[in-house]
Amino acid sequence: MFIITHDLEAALICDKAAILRDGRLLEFDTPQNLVSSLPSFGLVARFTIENLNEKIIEVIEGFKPVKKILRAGNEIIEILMDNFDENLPKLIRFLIDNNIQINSMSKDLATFRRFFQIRIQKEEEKEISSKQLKVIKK
Amino acid sequence: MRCEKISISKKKKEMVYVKDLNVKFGDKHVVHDVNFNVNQGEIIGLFGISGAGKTTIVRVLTCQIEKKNWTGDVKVTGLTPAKKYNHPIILSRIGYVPQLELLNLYFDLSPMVNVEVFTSTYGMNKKDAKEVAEKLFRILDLPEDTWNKPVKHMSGGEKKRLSMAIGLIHNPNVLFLDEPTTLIS
Repeated sequence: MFIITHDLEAALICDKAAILRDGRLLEFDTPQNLVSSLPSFGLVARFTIENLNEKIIEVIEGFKPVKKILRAGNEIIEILMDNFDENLPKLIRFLIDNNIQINSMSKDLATFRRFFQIRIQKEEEKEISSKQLKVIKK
Repeated sequence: MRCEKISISKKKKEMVYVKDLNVKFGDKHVVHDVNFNVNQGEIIGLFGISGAGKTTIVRVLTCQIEKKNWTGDVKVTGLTPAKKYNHPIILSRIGYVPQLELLNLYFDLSPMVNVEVFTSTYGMNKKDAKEVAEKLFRILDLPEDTWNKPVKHMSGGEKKRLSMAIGLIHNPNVLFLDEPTTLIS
């Protein structure tokens, strides 16, 4: 059975997910395998942060093991990083040291929706850098 | 012995095979070197933003794109849609529920007459078709008083569910659902 869909939650019932972009098949695997291909097998740290803004995100990006920061709501961010369990306490310490106020936090597994977002973003970044390369060559 | 038999029958058949699929409409190259295969019983989700080629790939598999527009090795239930003479057999083995119901329903006819029209093209006998239709209508929660009135009087959700019933009526080997969650109630 094939399901063509915009509804990323539909991945929950799929044995395999095909992700397409501009007529190219980017991924074809089980949703579980795709999520596990993320840093630290897709573990995310979700924080609700008081007065979250771009500046705070930039500060967090400065924490080396952080691989990806996604905004999941007005004051909610999800953070993917290497060696999750080892680095989580360090990240919390880093936030405290930088006077970033954590209102709540949880450890979770990334959803297929997040994987999709990250994968498409990666492709967009690739396209932008290849365009820039062309401009430089010209 | 018995166990062995079961394991043999459980061996999965390859239902869809796609190798190096490229689709071009004139200068527009809309699908690039797509490869995948699907075994019996698997549910595949096709994800992508608008214009990613999701529907185009399914249209190749469902014999809706002329061969001159695509290249590659494609097999649906073991048959290639590249050959026109395979189309009737492939179409009788697959179910297709389009994004918009107006593409697969006759709005001036009743659900039951729609069923008759479609099942006659699959060579199903009238009585069997009616029986299966009633079963599916009940599963999909289509109110009995709508079965014999023109489809145009049905609600959006009812039309979508009728469209699904028609996609399932011939017990297809492969089912294609294009945006099934829109309008579903």
